[in-house]
Amino acid sequence: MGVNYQTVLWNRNKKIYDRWIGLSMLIYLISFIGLTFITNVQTSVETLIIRAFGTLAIVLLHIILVIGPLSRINTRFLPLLYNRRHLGVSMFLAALIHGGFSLFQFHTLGNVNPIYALFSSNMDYNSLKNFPFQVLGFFALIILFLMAATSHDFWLKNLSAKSWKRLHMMVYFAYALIIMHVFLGSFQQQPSLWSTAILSFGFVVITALHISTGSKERKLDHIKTTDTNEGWDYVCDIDEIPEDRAKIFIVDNERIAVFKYNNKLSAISNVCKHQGGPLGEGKVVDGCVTCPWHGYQYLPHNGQSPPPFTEQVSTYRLKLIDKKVYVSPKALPEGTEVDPVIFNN
Amino acid sequence: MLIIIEIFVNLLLGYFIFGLLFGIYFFIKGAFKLDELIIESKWTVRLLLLPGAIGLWPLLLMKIIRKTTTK
Amino acid sequence: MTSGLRKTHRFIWITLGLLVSSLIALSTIATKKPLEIDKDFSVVSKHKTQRAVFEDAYFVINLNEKNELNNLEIILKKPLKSASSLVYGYSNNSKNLLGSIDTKGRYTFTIDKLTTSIAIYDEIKKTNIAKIKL
Repeated sequence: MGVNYQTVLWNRNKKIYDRWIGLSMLIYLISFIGLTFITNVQTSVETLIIRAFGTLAIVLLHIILVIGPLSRINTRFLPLLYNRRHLGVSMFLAALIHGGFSLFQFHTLGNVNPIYALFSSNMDYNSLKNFPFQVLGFFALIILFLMAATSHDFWLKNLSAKSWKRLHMMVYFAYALIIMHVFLGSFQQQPSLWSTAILSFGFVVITALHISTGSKERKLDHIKTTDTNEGWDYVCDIDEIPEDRAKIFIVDNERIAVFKYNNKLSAISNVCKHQGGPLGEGKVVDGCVTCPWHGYQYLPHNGQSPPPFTEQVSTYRLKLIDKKVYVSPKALPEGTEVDPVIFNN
Repeated sequence: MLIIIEIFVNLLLGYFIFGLLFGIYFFIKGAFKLDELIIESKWTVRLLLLPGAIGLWPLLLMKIIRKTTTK
Repeated sequence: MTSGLRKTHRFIWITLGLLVSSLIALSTIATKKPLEIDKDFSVVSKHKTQRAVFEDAYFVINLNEKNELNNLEIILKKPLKSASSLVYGYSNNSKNLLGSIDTKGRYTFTIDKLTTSIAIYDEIKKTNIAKIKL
């Protein structure tokens, strides 16, 4: 972290990204409302708002969930990942409007607490066609709220990286709840071939993307070097590493990045402290390794972020024998200074 | 089953009320105890962090207590 | 990502893939009617002993008079705003709960010959959605 926190670390790219989010959401809502008026004039305003914002939230969630694996497949998708946080918060706001209006429409205006009514109006948990689907939506909204509320670097630091990550991985559980909320809810009341097919297709695509990219990455984890030299593992030939870039190597199932810069070689952990981005896919800019995801930086010789930032990653010792780069597989404590290997061109 | 729902809803309401109270404390004082960098930040940052504080107040309360006792 | 996180992600997505696909399949099978292209429920032709009692944007109510009892048929054309609606039958001074209606479709209730009117009641808002004389 730096000297202080900002509400949003605005920059030109984020502003462009956010304008696109706003515009796309507006276009979607106008199109949805327009289409509904053409096909079903009798729809009430409340029903229209509930459906418009509900479907918008689902569309946004699908986009959010494909960004990660798509970025692994092709770096062209990295710009989408850069400000995914704002996309997530926007999705939550759409879901909140949907949930709020639904609660008002179906469970208020009586003499019962609306949340109590939500849970008690239908308790047919044994039935699939009459399942209390509203409860699923309620819990999904709680998860999305906690995620949106903690989408700030303050929480990343103060909740501990592990807790924050665990909380944000609950998006997958929320996704499952939302899918079932739709299939056991509106698809039971108004079955529609097209809607069922579209949502099923979305689910298949997302699942397939995550599983396939995960399998691809997992294969890399199991790669072991066969060339060792007195306990040092062979990484690659020095010419294989581009200038100001890195070669990613696997040591004990973990990835490290060996960077070449200014006739020097240094090795650090491949995992960015911010949100786990692949440092080895980044560049050396102004003497600092720069994460391709959000631009966090680390000095290559000690794994420390330049002041006033305080993040640190593990470092590794290297040696060069006849143009062959070897790494000592033992990770040094985060922020440990290691003399870079100096070579002549 | 209805009794369970009633208890759950009341617990939820209680959690939320405590969260609101903690949120007020967090805004005025608690955030500073948790992270000194907040001192240099604008009040709008604390406002933005308020929903998180309300939602996760038990976790934050434990952290603040731990920090206070270790000092 | 660390290898631990990759393992966790893999586990989550395989579990989700299997679990949610099964639930999707089961819920699709459990749907009351065969899947339709978006349109309102269409009313089928009436029987000879059936007489129409009421029709509006939401309901078609028919009464099928039999020897000892009557068959009350309520066709819900569009989903009601109410999350839970009960059907009561009124005869002289008594009130009987006949059943409940939720999703659109055809519901039949057996009623005695003394039942003179029915009410469809929103039990959350505590109001009658409709009160119809038979």
